Amino acid sequence: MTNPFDDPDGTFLVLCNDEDQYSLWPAFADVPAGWRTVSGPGPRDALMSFIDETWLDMRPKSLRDAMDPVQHQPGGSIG
Amino acid sequence: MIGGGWHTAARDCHSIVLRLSAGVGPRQVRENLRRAASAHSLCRGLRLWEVAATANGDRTRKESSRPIASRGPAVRVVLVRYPNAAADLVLVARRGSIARAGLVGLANLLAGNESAPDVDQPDPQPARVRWPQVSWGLGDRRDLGSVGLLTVNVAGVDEAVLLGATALVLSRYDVGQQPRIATGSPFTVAEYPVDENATVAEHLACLTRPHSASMRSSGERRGAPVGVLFGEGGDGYEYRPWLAPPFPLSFAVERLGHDGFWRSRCWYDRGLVSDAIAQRFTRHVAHAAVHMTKADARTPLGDIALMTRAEQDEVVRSGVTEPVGLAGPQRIDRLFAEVARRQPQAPAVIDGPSEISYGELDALADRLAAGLSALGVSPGDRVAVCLERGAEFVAATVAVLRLDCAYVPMDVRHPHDRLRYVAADADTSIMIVEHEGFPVVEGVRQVTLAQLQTADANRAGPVASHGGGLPAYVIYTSGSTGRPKGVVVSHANVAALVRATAGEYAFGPHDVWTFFHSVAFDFSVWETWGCLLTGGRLVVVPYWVSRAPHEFRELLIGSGVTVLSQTPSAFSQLIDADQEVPAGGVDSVRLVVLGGESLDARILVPWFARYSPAACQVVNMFGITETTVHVTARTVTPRDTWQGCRNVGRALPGWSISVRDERGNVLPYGAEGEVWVGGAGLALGYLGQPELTAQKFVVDPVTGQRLYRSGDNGRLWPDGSLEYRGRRDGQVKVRGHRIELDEIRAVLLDDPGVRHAAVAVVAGRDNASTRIHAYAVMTPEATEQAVLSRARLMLPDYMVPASLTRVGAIPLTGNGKTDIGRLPAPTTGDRRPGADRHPEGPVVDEVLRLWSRHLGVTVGVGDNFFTLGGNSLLVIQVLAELTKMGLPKVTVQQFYRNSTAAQFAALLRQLAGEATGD
Repeated sequence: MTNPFDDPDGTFLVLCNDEDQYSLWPAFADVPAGWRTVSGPGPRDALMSFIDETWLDMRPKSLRDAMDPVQHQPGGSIG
Repeated sequence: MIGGGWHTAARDCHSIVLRLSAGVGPRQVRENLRRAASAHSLCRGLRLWEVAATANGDRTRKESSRPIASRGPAVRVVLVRYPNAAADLVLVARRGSIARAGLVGLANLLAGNESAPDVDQPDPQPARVRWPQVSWGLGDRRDLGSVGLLTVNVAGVDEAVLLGATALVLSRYDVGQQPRIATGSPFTVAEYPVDENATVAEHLACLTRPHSASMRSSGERRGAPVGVLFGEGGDGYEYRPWLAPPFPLSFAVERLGHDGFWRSRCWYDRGLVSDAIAQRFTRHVAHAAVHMTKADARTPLGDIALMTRAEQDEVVRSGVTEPVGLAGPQRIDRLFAEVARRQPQAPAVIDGPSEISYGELDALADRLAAGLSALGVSPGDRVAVCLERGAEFVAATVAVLRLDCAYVPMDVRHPHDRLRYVAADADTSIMIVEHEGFPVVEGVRQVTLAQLQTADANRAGPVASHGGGLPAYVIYTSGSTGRPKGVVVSHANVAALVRATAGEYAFGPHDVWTFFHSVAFDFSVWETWGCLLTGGRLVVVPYWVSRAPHEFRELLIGSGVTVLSQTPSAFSQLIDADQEVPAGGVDSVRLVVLGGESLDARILVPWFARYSPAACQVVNMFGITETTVHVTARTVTPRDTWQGCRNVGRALPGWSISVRDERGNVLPYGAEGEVWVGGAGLALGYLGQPELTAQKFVVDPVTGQRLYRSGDNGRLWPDGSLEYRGRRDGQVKVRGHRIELDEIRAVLLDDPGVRHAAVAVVAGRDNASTRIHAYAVMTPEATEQAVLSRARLMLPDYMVPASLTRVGAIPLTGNGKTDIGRLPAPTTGDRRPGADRHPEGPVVDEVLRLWSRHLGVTVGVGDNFFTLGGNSLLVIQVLAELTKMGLPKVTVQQFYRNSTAAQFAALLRQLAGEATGD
């Protein structure tokens, strides 16, 4: 049995927390507290592309707000 | 397998206890026994033993658990009389002589209950079943033979559900194995495959289907960890189907009445299954049975929980260690500045003859920061630092951090392609280098330390303004795809690591640490910040010294090092070097921190023989780059060295560990699964790889927290400590069998003739030609043949290495881990004792061994000493050892002229000939 977390044919959700950190999550389980579904359920590849296109600034939100107090548009990647 | 006559007898005996009715006395029992003897040949010659006991009933328990000899009378009849005129009749018998029904009948007859016993009917002799490994049982081998007993009642279920629940629970504890359960009388072992995707109904239907003969016989050969004996409950008596458990976990399940009410008694051997695991296993079977009965028959097995929510929470909590000392700065540069303010004169970094104080280092960092700032480096940038380890490297990293930037440490010895890849992948704006133009990385502005200090540095660099959540460094680790990935670690991660350990290990200005490891290996993050944020002195270990154990040992003594961090492989070489010098040990070292790879505690035997654990604490830390160097810590004791302990301890304060199944469910204690790590060390993610970050840093379905899926296997102990079980992807398959190479290595290391060992798998054209090859550093008297013969005693055929090659040393990677790629081609074919001797004679053989040991690589006849990393220091060491071995004296000049092993051996032969006048 393929590990559901790594199953290329599995159905997934993209979850996001208050820090705007994303997590790919197998769709069979309930969405844990503190996280919201931002995409899916859907196939793994599509959701990985979604994450790639959406999570442009990998800094946690609190850090991003502290570093760029004025502008809030995504800029750069982590760091 | 447990041997010994007592156990065999105890497993083959059963017993019954019957409380005599008032008015029935010894005389009546004796009379009944005489009558029984005339009616049943089995009862002839039986005698009645009478004992007077104190009131607590212990004597009855004792008499009913004491087996009888395998020869002599088939039944022991004991009357235990208590002070209040009560009396217990205890019968113990061999099952091979009398079956349960007969024993019950005989007891009733003797007690005057007038039963018609089927006395002469023997029970079929129970089959002898092998005891398999029960590694999930967490038993203590020293307790072998100590029997535990638990009772649990289950209501509203039937026999099939109980068996099905047992199979399910076993499959979750013994992950990756087909559950094998012994049932019936005599016992037969069968496999009960569990498919978590099947429905409860399908699972139960599977149980009733007859198993194929092959399944059964293979199961029997491999033994069963669990046996289940179903029976009817006794009325007015206590029946015990065995006096010692015939299986590691032996369940006797009795129906009480007719409404699905069962009493399940579980006997277990504490040498294999601990009390805590037996209790939970038994409870989980009951819980799963009830859950399966109540659930819709179409429920998938995967949804049947073993644990209640409360128990799950308890298991999760036990893997969490509360953080300590949260107050204070969360930034590396601020913590460093605090130390520098407190003790500006104190030495910070010692590099050979040069020494730099905290104040000077702080000032240098300021100048470098100003220089970087003048070059336009701005907050959020990443700056590559490609310098030898030393004071300048540290100053450069502090400078980068002060600008709210992250440093990307690069090892000057890494191949240029790799450096290029890292510089580009990390999107660094600037690279701080030793010399201009080295390494060559297009598109990245290079700057030397000198240039930085002369740059327009009139203005001080901007003061860092952000908190601990800011990225501090990016370290590249090998990816499973072969493409290194950058792990982004924050200031707060490092601050938490230092806080988690500083108090426990009392780090302070009195400590002297080594800066031993490559700056691109995060073990050096621990060495530098662990030292400099607690005010210690950091002693730089030059690259060549880090590769020469004797030299390194001298440095430890000369510098008075107190805190030594090592990979087990490197430490093992240091121990060897230390053994060779009986005078003056490394007595200043008070703490050894082992990390970076899994520890086989047996390498520490000679260490503990020389250094008391009271004077020098040895701590093994399990860690992952993605969770900031370390995760757990465990003080290793001399006892661990002979028990082959793989426990890596509890999580560091602020960290958490949890063991999960493939669906992210919390596994019970003892069960092996993937280690998920959370808490203060959790990195921000992989640089520029959001999709990989989202896959590996997942949500905990239980707590909602962010956790890292480590890819390591482990099992949680009831005290919240972790037992490391190897990489999930390090698992190999040979001819369909699941194999842990570490297991083979451990068996080789058990051999007194083997000092170090490595095991590698060589994939063939197809699965059938995949081979396991072993390499070992052996004592001179050990032979490959003998070591392999011994290994065959411990390992199933498919795990026995196809070859064992004697090597001078196990080659290590730059990070001090076993370098599989540099092991020589395996020596194949049958080897006679002595066949490892080189055909060119013992001198070549001696030279190869000597060079291999000093160079830390396996040397071939044609190899050149200097191309393998030899240097002048090593030349001197080798020459000194030659003299010690009684070989002819060779000058340094002669060494340089004859620098291949073959030339060198020829030189030795020539010199020896001259000396003896041949």
